[in-house]
Amino acid sequence: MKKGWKIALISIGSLLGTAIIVIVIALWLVFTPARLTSIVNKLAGGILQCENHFERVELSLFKTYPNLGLKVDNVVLINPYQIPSDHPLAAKAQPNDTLAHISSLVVGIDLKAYLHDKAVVVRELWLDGVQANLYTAPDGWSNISSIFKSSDDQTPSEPTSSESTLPQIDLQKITLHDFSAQYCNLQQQMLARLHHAELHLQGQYHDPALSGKLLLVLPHLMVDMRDSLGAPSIYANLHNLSTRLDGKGTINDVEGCLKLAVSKGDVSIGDDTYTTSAMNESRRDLVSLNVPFHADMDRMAFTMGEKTTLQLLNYQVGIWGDVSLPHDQGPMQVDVHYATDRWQVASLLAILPSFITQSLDGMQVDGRARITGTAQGPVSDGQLPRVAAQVEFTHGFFSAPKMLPMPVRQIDALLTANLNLSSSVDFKGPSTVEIDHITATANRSKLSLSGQVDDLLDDMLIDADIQGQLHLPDLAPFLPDTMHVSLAGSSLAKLHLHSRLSAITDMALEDVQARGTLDFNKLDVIYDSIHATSPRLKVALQLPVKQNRKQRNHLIGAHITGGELHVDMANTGLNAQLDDPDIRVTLPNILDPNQPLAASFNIASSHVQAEMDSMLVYSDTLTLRGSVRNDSTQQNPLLQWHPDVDIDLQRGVLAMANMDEPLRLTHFQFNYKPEVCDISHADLLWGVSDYHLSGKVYNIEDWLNHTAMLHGDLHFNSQYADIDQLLTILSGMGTEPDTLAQQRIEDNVPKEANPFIVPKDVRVTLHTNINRCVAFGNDLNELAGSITVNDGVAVLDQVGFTCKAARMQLTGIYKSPRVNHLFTGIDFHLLDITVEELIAMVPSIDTLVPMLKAFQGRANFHLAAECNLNAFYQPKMSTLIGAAAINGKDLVVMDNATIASLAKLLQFKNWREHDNNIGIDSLSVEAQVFRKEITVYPFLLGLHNYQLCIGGRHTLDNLCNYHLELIKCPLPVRLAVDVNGSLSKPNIKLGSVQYGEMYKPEKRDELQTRTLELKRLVRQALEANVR
Amino acid sequence: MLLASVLWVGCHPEPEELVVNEQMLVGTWVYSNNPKEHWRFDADKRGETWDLSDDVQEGEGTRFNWSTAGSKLMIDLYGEMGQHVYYDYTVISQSEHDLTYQDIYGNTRSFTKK
Repeated sequence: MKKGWKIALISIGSLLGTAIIVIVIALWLVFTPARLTSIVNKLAGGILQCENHFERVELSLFKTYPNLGLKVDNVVLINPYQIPSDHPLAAKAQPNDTLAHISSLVVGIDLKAYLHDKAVVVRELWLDGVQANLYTAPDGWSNISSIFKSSDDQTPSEPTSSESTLPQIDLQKITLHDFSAQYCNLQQQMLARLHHAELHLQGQYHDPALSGKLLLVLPHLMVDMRDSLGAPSIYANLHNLSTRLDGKGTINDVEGCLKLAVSKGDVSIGDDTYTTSAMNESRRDLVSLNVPFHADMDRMAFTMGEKTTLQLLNYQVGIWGDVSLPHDQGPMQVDVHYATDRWQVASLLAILPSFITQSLDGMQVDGRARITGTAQGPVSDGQLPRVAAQVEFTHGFFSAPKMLPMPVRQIDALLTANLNLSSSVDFKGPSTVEIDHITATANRSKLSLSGQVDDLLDDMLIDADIQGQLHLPDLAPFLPDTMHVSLAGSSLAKLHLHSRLSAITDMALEDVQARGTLDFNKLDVIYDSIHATSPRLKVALQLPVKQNRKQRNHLIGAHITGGELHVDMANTGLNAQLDDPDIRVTLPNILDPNQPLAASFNIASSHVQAEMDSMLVYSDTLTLRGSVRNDSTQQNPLLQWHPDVDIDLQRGVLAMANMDEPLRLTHFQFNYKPEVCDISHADLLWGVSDYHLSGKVYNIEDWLNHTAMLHGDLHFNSQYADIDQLLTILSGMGTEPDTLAQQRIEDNVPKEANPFIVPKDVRVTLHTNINRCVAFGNDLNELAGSITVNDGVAVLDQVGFTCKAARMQLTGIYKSPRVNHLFTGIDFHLLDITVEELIAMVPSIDTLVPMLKAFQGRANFHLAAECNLNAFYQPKMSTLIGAAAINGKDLVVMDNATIASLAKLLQFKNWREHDNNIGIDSLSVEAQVFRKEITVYPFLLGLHNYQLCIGGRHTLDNLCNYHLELIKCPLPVRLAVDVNGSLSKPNIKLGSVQYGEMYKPEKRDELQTRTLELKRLVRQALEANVR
Repeated sequence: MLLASVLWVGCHPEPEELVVNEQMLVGTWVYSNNPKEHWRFDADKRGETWDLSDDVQEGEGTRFNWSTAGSKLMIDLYGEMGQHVYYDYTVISQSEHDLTYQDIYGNTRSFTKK
């Protein structure tokens, strides 16, 4: 049985084999290559317009089995063209007359369909060794468009069996092998070239089922696109591009997967190259795309699966969601989610092209970043979907030595952005960023920020809370080098900011709202020559500050409070300490270079201590309120700052090195404005003295500018004043260093000499009203008058007062035209003074009238004198000129050796017989001084029964010429003596009588008349100044 | 003897009194005993005296008014405080370049014109 089956099967097989061999041989004999080639060429000639050639056409049974294969070798289509030589792409394009050359083309035809239905159905297509050369001229002519003849051009040919039914293409498989092509489109300014490509396409469609696979491998693809001017717009040179597309489903509903990868390549857009050598040196694919998708062709909607990834080297973005293409009911819609891996920023930046990272030149940026979000909404002309992005940044590091003086570390941030990218006005909407937190550390300082940014794509509106733990030395490097700032201490900063970004970048503080506090701890700031320290200080900031009428342009408000603030200003020598300060300051836009720096302030302190050079000021309370406005062109601090300030200081103390005891400031209140300084109260205690000063000083700033004189009108009251103590302080004030230095050089003034130089351009009047005072060691009462400094002249004007001995009136003048030439002058009147007190007050009177101390009683004394001094206040005797007059009534002559010797000289007998003290009815002495010579005009002296007339002169060299004449005596004797020579050892001899008739008007001679006239003139001139 | 004296005095002729030449006086004179002491007599009857040895320059010295009467030269020095100092001298010789006068005590002062 088995053997029978075996024989039967072998027999049937042999028959079939024989039949097939017979059929093949028959086909081979009927459809010979030559015949088929002829048929195809003839057929092509009827269809194709361009030159064409089909070298060999033959049947193939095995390669295309079960389909009948038709194999064509060396298909050539030729269609010549010329590329304009001046075209930018001409140099790169490789013109070729051959439109296409196919080494081998195999078409698989469904034999069953042909035999059954006489239909030519192409099932398979194989192309091998394809070279294509496609060209479109600038005018739109294409070498493809003229391949086929138009219906008019086609020559009628004999109908054949094969021509009667055109092939029906129902491809199941297409394979291209070794496919190279050039596409040059000069109308679109594009050149593309690919080499040795492989394409495998398989598909099945059995209505409604559909499935297919596409594999495209491009070893090399080059695309060069130019703009209308011929400049490069897009250039891509890609290697190993592979695309794989799988799909199945129905014609309207396909599910599949697209995979695309490019291993290496260069891509440029315009002048920017998006690929780098670092990217191409990676072992990973340059770009890869993996898109599992679902396509609903009815709705033109595509869904990307959750595993969709786009990867640049090893940086991956996951994308999933729906995209629907525009259709009749609406525009394109996107609903896509995306999420990146955690990217290491530094390594990402390292591979990015330079045009992206060039703004980071000189910077180091690192950290780990992850971005997740969505893109949702329609896409149409001018409308883009809303994009939401959450950026998570951790372990960040940023260093930019040119921008930041120190690296910023430990940067952590979490931001959520909502973007409306639509460009059309109709679809524009808000774009915002919510800042969950941004924290960073720089050296020992930490900063954190949270808030929201609106209008992200326009002029951002920032609303943020900023907190910082600031290590103040970390801030110093941020300040300009020219500021010379040194900082120590720490601060806890809390700030709320609400502003447009443009306001911040434009420094337009008037459009910025900010408020917050800075809590300083162990603050230690050195700015230029200013050193400020505070163990604890709080600064509250407000921007903009509430404005008042005086501060219309002030924006910034600061409220400074704390336990203690110490300020040391080295260049001024000021060293101040404020306890429990309460300082309110307002400032204009300090960042606006067109606005002068200015400030308004209100300072209150419970305790103030300030040192300046050798001066120390202490106060229990200080209130300082006002404003300053800076003029940087000025040197003098007052002109630089134009202060308008109210100062109220109570219970203070002022101590200076040259003061033997401190000055106590009971109450010191004044207002200073550029035009006037108004002193309301200056109540001072110094030792046992009290001073009360009030009044106004005008034109201080104009005076400093040398455009006006300084005017002052001050009232100076005191219950008791130690003038001597006061003068020790005032001496030497008001010197002008430059002028002084020049004069010192010109006058060869030793540096030890430091006289008081009266200020020029100054007119200050001090109205004094002193109840009691001590001056030059004398107690004075009810001193009233004015002291004026007027343009280089100091005048003690008509000061009247009473002392225990007399009413006194003094006018003094001091001028300093040169350092070595100082003018002093006095007009001095002592009225109703005892002679003893007079000599005590004016010791030099004893030099003028040596015998004056012999008298007792009350007299009037007048003195006017002047003398210039050198820089050591030593008198220049050649300039001494003075006149004095003494007149007294009811004086008593004391038991005096001088009088006694005179009496002896003139042979007085019993001149003090009845009384030791001899009364004198009147005494009138006039004397004058010029240089070293003192002249005493003749005066009468009555001693009991005797009357003397004395006159003459003596010098400071101790020489004398005196004449004493007995006018009246009990005896009828006229006696006169001349006293000449040295005062200590005078030469006394009898002289001729001279004065006998002087006091007898009818008998006096011309000289006597002249002498009395001069006496009168001297006295009259002196008494003329008595008030 | 007394009579003889009276007769001698009465018959002796008075020496001719020098009359000061004011024009000749105008100018700056230097004190012979101290060449740095200057006296300037101005034509308007004003004047100034200064002493360079005291570092007092012309214009910084003491002002005065002057007048003459016969041989008398009267100088009225005045200061800024209203004080006046008067000196009456008798000129005993005067030339274009030399001047000598005497005070009431008989002391003479000689000057040379500068």
